[in-house]
Amino acid sequence: MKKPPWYLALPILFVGMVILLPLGYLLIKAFSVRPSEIIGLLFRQRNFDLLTNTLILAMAVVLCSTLIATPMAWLTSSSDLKFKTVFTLAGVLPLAVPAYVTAYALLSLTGFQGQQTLGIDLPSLNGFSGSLIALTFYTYPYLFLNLRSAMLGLNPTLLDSARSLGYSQWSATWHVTLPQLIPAFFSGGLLVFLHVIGDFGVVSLMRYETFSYAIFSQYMAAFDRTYAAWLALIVIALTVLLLILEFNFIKYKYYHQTGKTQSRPPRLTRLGKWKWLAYSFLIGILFLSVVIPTFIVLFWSGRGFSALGFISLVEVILQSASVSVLTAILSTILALLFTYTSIRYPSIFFRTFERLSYIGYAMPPLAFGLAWIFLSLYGLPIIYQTFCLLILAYMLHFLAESIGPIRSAILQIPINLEEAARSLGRSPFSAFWHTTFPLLRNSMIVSFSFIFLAIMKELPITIMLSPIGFDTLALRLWSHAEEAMFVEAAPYAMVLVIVSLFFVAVVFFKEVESD
Amino acid sequence: MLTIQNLTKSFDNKKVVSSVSFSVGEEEIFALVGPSGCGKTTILRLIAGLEQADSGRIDLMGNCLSEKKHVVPPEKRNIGFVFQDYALFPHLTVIENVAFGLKNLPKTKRIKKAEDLLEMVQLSDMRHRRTHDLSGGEQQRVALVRSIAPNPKLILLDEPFSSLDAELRESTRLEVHQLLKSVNMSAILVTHDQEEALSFSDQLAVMSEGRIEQIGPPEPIYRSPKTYFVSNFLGKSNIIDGIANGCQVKTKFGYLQITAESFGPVHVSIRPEHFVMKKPNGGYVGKICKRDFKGHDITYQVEFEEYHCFVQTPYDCPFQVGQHVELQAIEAAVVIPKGKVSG
Repeated sequence: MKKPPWYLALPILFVGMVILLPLGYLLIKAFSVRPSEIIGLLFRQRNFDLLTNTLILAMAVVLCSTLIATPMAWLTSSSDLKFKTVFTLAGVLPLAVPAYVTAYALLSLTGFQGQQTLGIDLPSLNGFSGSLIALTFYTYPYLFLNLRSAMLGLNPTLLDSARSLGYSQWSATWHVTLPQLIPAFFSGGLLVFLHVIGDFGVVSLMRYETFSYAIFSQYMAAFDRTYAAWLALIVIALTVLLLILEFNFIKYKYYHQTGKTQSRPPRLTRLGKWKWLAYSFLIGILFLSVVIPTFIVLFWSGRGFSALGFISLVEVILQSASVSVLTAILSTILALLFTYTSIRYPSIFFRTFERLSYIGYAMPPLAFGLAWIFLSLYGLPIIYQTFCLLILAYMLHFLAESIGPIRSAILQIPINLEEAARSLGRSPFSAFWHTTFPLLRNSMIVSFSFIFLAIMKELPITIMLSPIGFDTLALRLWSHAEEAMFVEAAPYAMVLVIVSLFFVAVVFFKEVESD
Repeated sequence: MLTIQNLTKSFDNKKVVSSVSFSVGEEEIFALVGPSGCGKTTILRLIAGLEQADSGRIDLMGNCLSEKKHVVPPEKRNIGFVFQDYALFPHLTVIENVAFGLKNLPKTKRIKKAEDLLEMVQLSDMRHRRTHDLSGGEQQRVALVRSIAPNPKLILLDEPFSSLDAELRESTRLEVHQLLKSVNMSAILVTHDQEEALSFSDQLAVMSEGRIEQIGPPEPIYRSPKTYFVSNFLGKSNIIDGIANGCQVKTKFGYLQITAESFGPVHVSIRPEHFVMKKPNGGYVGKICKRDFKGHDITYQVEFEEYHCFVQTPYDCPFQVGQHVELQAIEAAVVIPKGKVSG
């Protein structure tokens, strides 16, 4: 087995250690009390209520997302609809409108608020129903993308095969097509589920008590941080449990295509007179998830514009952007080193460490943030409330997201390009720099964009870890909206939505290009 | 038992199958052979009901399967289909795949029958595996018994050996042939491999650009191709113009016998192995310009003026490049309709 040079091994070792460290401090804090107290902390009625609230919301969001995403994926992959690229983009765009912006838009329009300022009388949307709507319209793209690519990957001869074995169109769809979409349902559903568990912005604005919200209030109340640690551990355990279930499911039913060729292009179903229903469905969803929230945000921004507000807005934009750019650059470099080493020098050791990066990603951000607080309070007081801590936490949380595009790009580059350069007299670094690196440029841009956008939108980790005086767009929006200051919150929401729409479109068209 | 009349099908206004007619007898293996894109797979899909014909008629054992308004759906046709990529269901095990088409049997009988079929192709040990754990040849056998399981009246094979490597292809071909014959099943094989078509089938149809060029048992078709296309597609052939006078034709490399009486300018086709090379002896003399030793035989190219003639000889033929030789035909040449003739 080839051993990597030390400068490649170091980043992996570093990430592996650092990602486990905060977890350790969370455990230390949680077990710092007497065992009898632990039982009291663990088996409370409140924990049970939080669990029920969290699970019911997560399941409802998964269900509603499925109802939206399935027909959408089918229409954009298997029907004769026109403008499929546009509608596919429409299926991805909701990712650009952070769920807490939708929550803010809903709150500002309905109930008491809507009555007072706008004179419209809509039933108040908060709590469960408000969270459900805001989270569904944000998360369904995860399911949509998974299902769509699964549908595009289906081998149409399998259906032919079932037909020739005596199955009607419907029963062949049921027995052959549907089972093959199940992995996509599960992996998309898992992403949605994890997102709901980890969400803080929506549930805190909507005042719906899930674990994330409870951890936050427990921590802020500051009387009993041990209980906050226990809540964080419970929600982490829930996440790990879900990942294990998913992993076992995938291992059991990992579907491969047999045969070498996919000989026939997929057949497109003619919609005929149903076409108009399909168009109105897709346009309706686009309106509900993107257009209407954006308009509400613009409307409030117009109302609340002032010169003074503008200056402080610019200030916050600069703060937000500079931290995001810095972190995105560092993350992209780290992801490149990380992936390159684990692919070019494969070993179980590095593979395990690479997997560790997914822990940071899957971990509910509020629990993750809390763990870092314990670490910086009790282990490394020198970094408490510093940018260093904030950036480190961001990086480790989003590392998996920046690894994704780079990893798949490196896997496509044959190793013998570098070997050819070596045989032509280049040093290992020069060989990499002149062959592999230029080919990775696009994927590094995508990776950078992902992280930049993710950090611009990030809320819970920022709330927990940002140094005093540091403000981001998301933070300002949230704290104003929390206090029902909808007009004041609007400009921040507007900038966030514009930046996000821009980046989502950029990434989308880069992907379409490379298809 | 299967009769096809004037079958026609277009995709995007391009005729893929035009007015094709043929019939397949009981227990007969019929091959459709032609270059890729000649419409042979489309014919299979029309027979299976996976596509609908624009016009024409398909009958199976006296029942009409497809006519203008009357189209039987694929699941009601009782015709088996082995796809080029096998189309094994990835979410099912081997035995579940084989039992998939037996849904009308009670469960125990279904399993029993599937097990018997797997036994027949020596795959009993694999029954609980997933299909992607199988080798290409094993997947092929599973696909075959899966399509045989519901006792179809006819089985359609679409390039079933093309994704196997050369070594495996020959042995699998033999096995499949034996299996089909042992269950007395009629079959239609689609292939672009002329050797496969010749060795596998009882009857074959050579296709080009949506039409059938020639139909008949393999040996007569090979020996007397009726068109330029057939003579070149099924093996290599020398095609040359000449002046016919009754049973003889005068060409650039000598007088040849012809199979049917003709007069005047004609094109004739003669196979490379139907020549014998001799030392010059007062006849038409050519010069050997290429000698391609292939182990069990040798292919020569002999130059007569600007025309190159291919000659196939046994492995021990002593003539070398540059030598002058005379050709003697040991079989009659075939007159083919005037068409484009290239050197």
